[in-house]
Amino acid sequence: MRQRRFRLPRLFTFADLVLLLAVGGASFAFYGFRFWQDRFGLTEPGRLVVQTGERVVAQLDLSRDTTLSVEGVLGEVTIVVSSHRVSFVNAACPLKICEKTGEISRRGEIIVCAPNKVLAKIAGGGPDDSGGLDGISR
Amino acid sequence: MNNISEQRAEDVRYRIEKLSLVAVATVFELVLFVLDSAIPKPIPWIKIGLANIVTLALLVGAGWRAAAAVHFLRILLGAVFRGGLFTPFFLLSFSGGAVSFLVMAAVVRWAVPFVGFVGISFLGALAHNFTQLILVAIALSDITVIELLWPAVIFFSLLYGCFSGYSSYHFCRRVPQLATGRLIPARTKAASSA
Repeated sequence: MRQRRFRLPRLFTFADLVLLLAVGGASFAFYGFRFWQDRFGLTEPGRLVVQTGERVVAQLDLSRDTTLSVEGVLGEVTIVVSSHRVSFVNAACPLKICEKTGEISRRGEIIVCAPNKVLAKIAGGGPDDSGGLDGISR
Repeated sequence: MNNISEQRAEDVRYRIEKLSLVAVATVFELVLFVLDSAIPKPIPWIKIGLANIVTLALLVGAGWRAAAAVHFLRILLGAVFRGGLFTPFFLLSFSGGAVSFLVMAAVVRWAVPFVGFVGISFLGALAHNFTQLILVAIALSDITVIELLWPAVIFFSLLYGCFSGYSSYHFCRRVPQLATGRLIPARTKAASSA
């Protein structure tokens, strides 16, 4: 009734090495590839949608550097697109929060000038904001 | 030849010994589990899996039944002591633990001389973390969680899995009963542990 002689399994076998390298390597390669793709702008270029209130006044291609002046409620708001990044400069509003927002470049990000009701958001293409998930708590 | 009362005594002794060993192992795992939660980590909710060191050791040296008892008791009691028994987090924890155990038990049973401690531990960690990731994605109805976090899951499973496997191996080596695969003593007339 004695079963076969018991031997403690080895710590690290060849199969282990293959497994670790395969999984680790594959994930590293895939992630690196995605990163490289984003870095070199090989993903589809982003599109900037500019609205005053509910009305869409402009849709800009982020791959081209442009400057756009938008008429808001209180005055003019200047939107600058440069190297796939968007920022507000020279906004006619008291607090200039929109200017202080800095640059946005990812899908889903927005800059808003509330007093002027001017909104610029990035839709479609480009490195994405991953659904805007900032963190998970447990 | 044993008479009936000697057999009964033997049987009782066996059962008491088995119970005690499982109880001690469970306590051991619980302590490791609490310690695990206290150690600061870059991603707090991906645990190092210290308690699984014992689970793996038991799978190897004491059979899957004892290992399962200890493992699931530890998950349950761990949740009780943390006050998280009837929360959704417990479901998360339990599912991760269950899948992880199934994977490790299957590997130990069928792939053992071929795969070593590190590999088993890595697969267990991977199973646990991925199960939790998938469940979180389902719960939040947000599949981008997976898109965002899968490299981290693989990386930390690698790191922590290797560490646990290494620890478990050396732990088994130093406990003679585990090293010989007979933590649960054999009954005199029955076969040795599963």
